[in-house]
Amino acid sequence: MTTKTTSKKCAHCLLDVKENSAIKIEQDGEILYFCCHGCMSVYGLIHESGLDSFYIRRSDWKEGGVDSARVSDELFEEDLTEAEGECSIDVVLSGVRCSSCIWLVENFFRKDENVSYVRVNYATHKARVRWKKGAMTLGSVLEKFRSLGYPPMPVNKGGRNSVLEEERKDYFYRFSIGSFFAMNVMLYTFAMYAGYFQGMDEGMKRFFKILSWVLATPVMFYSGYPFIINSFKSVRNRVLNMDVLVFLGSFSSYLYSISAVFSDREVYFDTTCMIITLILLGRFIETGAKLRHSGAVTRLLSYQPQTVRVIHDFDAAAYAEGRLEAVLVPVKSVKTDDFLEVLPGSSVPADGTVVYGESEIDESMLTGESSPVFKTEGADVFAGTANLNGSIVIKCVQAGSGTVLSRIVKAVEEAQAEKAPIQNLADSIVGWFVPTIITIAAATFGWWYFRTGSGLEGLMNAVSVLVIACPCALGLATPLAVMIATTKTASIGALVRSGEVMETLSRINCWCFDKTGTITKGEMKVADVHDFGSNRTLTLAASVERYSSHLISKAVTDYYEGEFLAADNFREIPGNGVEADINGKRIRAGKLKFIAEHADVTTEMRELHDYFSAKGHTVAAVSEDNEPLGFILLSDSVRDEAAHTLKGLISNGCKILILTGDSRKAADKLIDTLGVKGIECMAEVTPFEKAEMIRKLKSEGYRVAMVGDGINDAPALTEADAGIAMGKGTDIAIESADAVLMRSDLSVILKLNKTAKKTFAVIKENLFWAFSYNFIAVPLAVTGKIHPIFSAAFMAVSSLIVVFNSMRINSKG
Amino acid sequence: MEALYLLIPVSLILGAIALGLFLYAGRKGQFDDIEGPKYRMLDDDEDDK
Repeated sequence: MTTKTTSKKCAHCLLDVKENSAIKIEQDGEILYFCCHGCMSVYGLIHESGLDSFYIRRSDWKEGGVDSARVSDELFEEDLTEAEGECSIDVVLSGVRCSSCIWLVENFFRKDENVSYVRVNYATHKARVRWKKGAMTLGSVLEKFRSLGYPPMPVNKGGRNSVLEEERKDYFYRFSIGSFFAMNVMLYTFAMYAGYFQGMDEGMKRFFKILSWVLATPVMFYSGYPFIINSFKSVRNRVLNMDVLVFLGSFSSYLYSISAVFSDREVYFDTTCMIITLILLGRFIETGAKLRHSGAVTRLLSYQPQTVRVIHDFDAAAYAEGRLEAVLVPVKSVKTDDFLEVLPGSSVPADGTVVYGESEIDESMLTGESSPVFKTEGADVFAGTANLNGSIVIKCVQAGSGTVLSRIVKAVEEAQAEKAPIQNLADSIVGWFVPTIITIAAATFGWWYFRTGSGLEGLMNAVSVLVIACPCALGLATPLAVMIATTKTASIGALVRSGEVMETLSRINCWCFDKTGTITKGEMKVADVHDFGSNRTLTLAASVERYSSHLISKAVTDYYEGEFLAADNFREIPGNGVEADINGKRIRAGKLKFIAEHADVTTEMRELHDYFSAKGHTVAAVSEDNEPLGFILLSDSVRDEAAHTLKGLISNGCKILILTGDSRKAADKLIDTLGVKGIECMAEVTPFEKAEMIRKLKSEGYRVAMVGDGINDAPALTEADAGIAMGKGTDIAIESADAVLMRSDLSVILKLNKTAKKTFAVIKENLFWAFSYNFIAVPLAVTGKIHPIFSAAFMAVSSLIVVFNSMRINSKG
Repeated sequence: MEALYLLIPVSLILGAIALGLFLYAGRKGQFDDIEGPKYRMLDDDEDDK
């Protein structure tokens, strides 16, 4: 197959689609192509509402499909407010890509006369809608958003972290008030510097000193309040962190300066102010970066429906006749022995046994097995797995916290609780820096007391050591570098949750990978077509299978690049295959057993089938009436960039381990296909064993990163020093990871690793430059030769160096 | 130079008023969406509903 199909762009989302698999509609004599039914219905809706100009005005539109995340309606209820006969709700919209999206949503709602107010915030994607009470239900408002292709999320879950947001606001006010006073203090301090060189009137000098005192007080006690509180906390916990150093430096200079106002010494109120405001600025930047990226991670989560369909007094015969109606109840109220109806496309709500119906279930998130499992009456199903194509009724065996899924979630939570917080480099330096400075201050006191015999002289010099000790640039050294780094990694396609992850990532020397969905694409691809001579196997199979939404059918239709033949009387037999009439002949495609019921399958064909299966392929047989036509071989294909990425990591001197729940045979085949030397592989491991393995590697001294996508990887992702989830992964995997790959592209890991290394190097340099100020200033303070003007100059220089050095992260190379 | 004893407090009061206005605007949500207005301005068919 070398013919290339023309690729078209989806008329709504601009995604590239193959002409064959695209949905075509004709409108005003023009053929429009769509990637999916979602896009088509959104396009239809926009067209009907007369808002076509949306497609003209979107100049800054970014590509991407319609988001499918669906949050159940009851999660929004707590955000609904009612006042003066009007209802109002705030939601966060996912899928907003450009300013025309805002325009579209606002104009779409404005056309509805029941809506009295609608506003979408461009920066936060938060929408507020008010409508006449009783005119619309909350559900219908949410449905309007969904129908436009912008699934709403509750404000508290929709990617906004309210705790962080509050913290950021708090830092903002403390910083802005602090900087106002600090700038005024600097103004008078500069006047006093000028006075140092040119001479100054005594009265005026005292006036300036008192002014500085007055202005520095709110900075010390209002803006500096978080540092005061935190340093008391940290002393109580016997850990010295940066807050202690900040408090020590700012408060000692504040007290020293007050005493200086009444004696003839120089005041250091500017030091108090600069330390506090600059470090607040760093904190403000840090929370901003955290908020943005952890928010984006939360937006990836889809949140499972919270209601299940329960059938009371289940009776198979009555159900088959349609006499039994399912009732919607919250998932929490499900008990053992309840009968639950699971519709196609929804996920199984509890562990149980199938009592009616048959369907194929995708269990990949639990077992890592990529092909769906056929379940019929008597088979066990597990909560969290996806029901693909048939409607089934299950009898609940384990609900709530007893399910396999809940046990995994619990393991994740336990691991999270046990995981020691990563101490960042700045804090660990401060840990020994503070005691050192206090020792130097004590020594200074002793030396001056011994030399001059004056306790006051000794005390003043000792305090000036403490005053000089805290470098302003320290507050900026890490946050600035982390902010620039996270922005950079976001642009290459990886979201990093916090700055500490950067430090950890740079030191990883063992990478563990999950197999299905991580190293492989986790989806079926046609590997080969084995034809018995007619050369029509693929054409006929694809023409029939395009009517089915089964994974295998989709793979075959995607692979086929020619014209489809007309087919009718299509029928899908779950667990077996599909059939339809083409040119008056019955075409069947599916399992060999299913084909053999209608066609004459020879022994050689069966042997060939077993041979292909043993090689790890999934085999779809195709027949025309009673004549077998051939086999289509499918397998889960390895990501194109996987081998390159693994090679890159090995050449960095890292150990590579693949952990899979699949069979040994499948694992060996994977190693073969990858063709990279030095990869270790563990097969047939349970989710808990994966985490156990990582714990073992850690105890052997490795610093371990885990890359995975499924529920079965979640405990391992949490256990690892750095957990990286694939963006298409399951909610639990994304939630337990420290970083998320937005595109399912493994090569991002190499870039991420490189950026992390560079960032860590820059942080180290920044800390060096921040402390370099101390190398000069502290000796001056010890000898009693320090003057505020020197300390201010050194501080400014080291801060500037830190800022410019951080910029280097963004440069190429 | 005696004028400074008056002028500096005056300048501080004026500055404090400006700071107060800024904080007031911030709390009222004036800076919540700093990206949107520049695009909204270009939408000619917007009615004030």
